[in-house]
Parts: sequence; structure tokens; C-alpha cells
Amino acid sequence: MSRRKLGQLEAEVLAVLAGADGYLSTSELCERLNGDPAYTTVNTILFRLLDKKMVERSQRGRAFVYRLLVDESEIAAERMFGHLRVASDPSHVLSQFAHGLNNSEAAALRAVLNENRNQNEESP
Amino acid sequence: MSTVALAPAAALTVLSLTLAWRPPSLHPAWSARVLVVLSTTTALTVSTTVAFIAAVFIAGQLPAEAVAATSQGRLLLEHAPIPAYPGLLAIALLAVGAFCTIRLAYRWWRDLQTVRQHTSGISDHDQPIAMAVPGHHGGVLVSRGLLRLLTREQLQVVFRHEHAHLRHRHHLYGSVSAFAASIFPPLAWVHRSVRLALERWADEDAAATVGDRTLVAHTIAQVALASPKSSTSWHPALANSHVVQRVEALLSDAPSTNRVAGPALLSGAGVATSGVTSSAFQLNHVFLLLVL
Repeated sequence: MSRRKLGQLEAEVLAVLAGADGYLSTSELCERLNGDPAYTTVNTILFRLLDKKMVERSQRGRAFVYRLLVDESEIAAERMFGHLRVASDPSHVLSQFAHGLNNSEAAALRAVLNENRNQNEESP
Repeated sequence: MSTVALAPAAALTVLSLTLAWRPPSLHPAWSARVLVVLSTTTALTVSTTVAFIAAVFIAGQLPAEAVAATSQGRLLLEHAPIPAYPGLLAIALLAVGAFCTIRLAYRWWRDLQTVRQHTSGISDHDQPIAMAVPGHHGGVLVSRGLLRLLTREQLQVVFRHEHAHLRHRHHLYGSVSAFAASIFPPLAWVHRSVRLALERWADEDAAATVGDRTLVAHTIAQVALASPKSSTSWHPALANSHVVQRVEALLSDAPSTNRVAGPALLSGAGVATSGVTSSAFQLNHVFLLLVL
């Protein structure tokens, strides 16, 4: 697997870990990832994530098992957005998952959600 | 110089802006591709046309003997004279395009440098932030605020969404269309549609893997409502966010995964626009100028 794809695989590993109940071993992770990545590659990613405190590790038998770290107290967060105006994204190339809304957009969004909820109640 | 030389540029501009305004009902993956192809060819055609007009205008202003000494100069003189108003306008357009492109390139480079220093990880930020970091050591940046806000299922949606951005190299589509928009500013409208199509594409990818469109819609809505309010822009169409459209689309039916319409329209757009672009090149003697 090329180095170019490591970041992509990292995102996928995080997604699989987020969707799993409890811990997963490296081989269990390999099975759930697309494209059959190499065991060692997945391990590399897990070490990277462990290093960044995005996952936590435990031992099951002789194997290490991993899960997504979402517990506030354990998260090691870095200050990294201080000088990056991510919110405004001046180059329009990077994009956030969802931007903030202005008042009229927020109202429109709430209306859409309510309408959908009502429809579902009428036709369960 | 006849006005026929302007026809390809005008036709492509109208076509791009029409499709950006009323996107065809395709899967967002195909809308994104069609729009990027269109905006690239439009930018190329418009810039060569404008550059040619500017060159003819400048040649007309120079002393005739000096220009006629070279074959390129004689070619340009054949099309002279260009009236002062369109000539100066062409030069101004070129200058604006060049300035915007250089500025965008600088910002793009700076933004990528900054995020790549941190590649991926967790930021100590109370706002819910998630973004894909492209490149060798890329990954997903998330903030503490996001982890605090969402459940595990919702986090899965976020990671799937960012994974789709990385897997399909959405940053390349985004930068190509951003550069097209900086060369020819009206294409900013097309760039907006491209950005919406890319987000929709990632949303649909996430929904397909997670298997729950409503969950994806609610996750987006929750993150957007928890994010700090954006300033009210003077016109709703210029607002920065596509959140409402994305949520609405996810709450309605899935886009058809028609395997014919998208590729057909893309190749059609590709063939047609490259034809128009090359005819513009010929009309403007770009090849002749390059060869000579």
C-alpha cells in the first residue's frame, strides 16, 4: 500500500472502530476494512493513532486490542487551530464536515427536521 | 477581429453557469465531475480568448513596422484594430485573473502546510470540527468539541464522510475548480456547486456504508447547529454553508445510481466542450502562435 493511502486508511480504521462495540484486534480490523490491507499496515496505523491518543489499547490473551478513545479525561488534545483560520477556509480547498449556520439557515434546517419528524409519525 | 471568436467562450460560460444554477439530477459524484470538466474548459477557453484579444490590442498600439517584422506580429495585425474599450477590458480581466490565481495558490499552499504540520489528531477546540487532511501523511482532524457532542454511531458517520473525501481525492476536484474560478471570476458560482456536490458525494458514501440516511442527516444537522453562528451574508445564496440542502437531500430518497446517465453526460460534456475549446484555440490561432 502506497504511503499516499495511509491517511485514507486511517480514516477508515477510525470509522470501523467507532462503529464497533468494545475492543477490536488487528486481525478483526483487517477483516472489516475494504480492499484487504496488509496486517502490518493496519498495525502501523494503529500505532500512529495510539501515539496521537485517538485510540486506546488493551490486551486480550496474547493479542493487543484497540478501541476509539472518546473519554474526555484521556484525550490528549493539541492546540492546533490557533493560527489556522479553518472556520473561514480562505483557500476554499479544505472543507469542514459542517459549517456554522446563520439565523435564517438554522431556522430552515429546523423546519426541515421537524417536517421529516412529522412525516415519520404519520406513516410509521 | 470578428465576434465569432467570442462565441465559444460565451457558449461555455452560459452552459457552465446554467448547470451550476440548475444542476442535472444526477448522483453527486457525476455532477461534481461534469461541473469540474465544464469549469476547467470554460476557464481555458475564456482565458485564451481574452489573452488573444489583449495581444491583438497591444500589437495594434505598437508601431506597425516593428510588429510586422515577425510572423506572429503579422498574424496579430490581421485581426487589428481592436477598439480601446474591449482591449483594455481584456487586459484588466487578465490582470484580475492572474492576481486571483497567484493569491489562491499562495493561500492553498499555506493552508496545506499548516494542516499538514498537524496531519491528523485531536484539536483542543470546543467547536465541533472535523476535516480531511489530504496528502502523504494525511488523515482526519477532529476536535474535542466534536467528540464530546456525538455518539459513537455519529462519529462513525463523520469518519466515513472524511474517508470518502480522501478516497475520492475530493481536494483535487476542489482545487481545480477553485483555480478555474480564480482565472475567470464568474466561475465562482460553479465552484460553489462543485463544493456542494463534493459534500453530497461524501454524504452519500457515508450513508451507503453506514446504511442509515437519517442518521447521517441528523449528524450533519447536529454538528451545524452546535457550530458557532456564521455571520449573516447580504444574500442567502452567498452563505458559506450547504448544510440545509445536504440534510434535505439525505432525508429524501437516495439519488439514483444510474450507471448510464452520469458517464454519458460526462463524456458528452467532455467531447462537446473540448470541441468548443479547441475551436476557440483555432479561432484564436493559439496553436499557430505557439508553433511560430
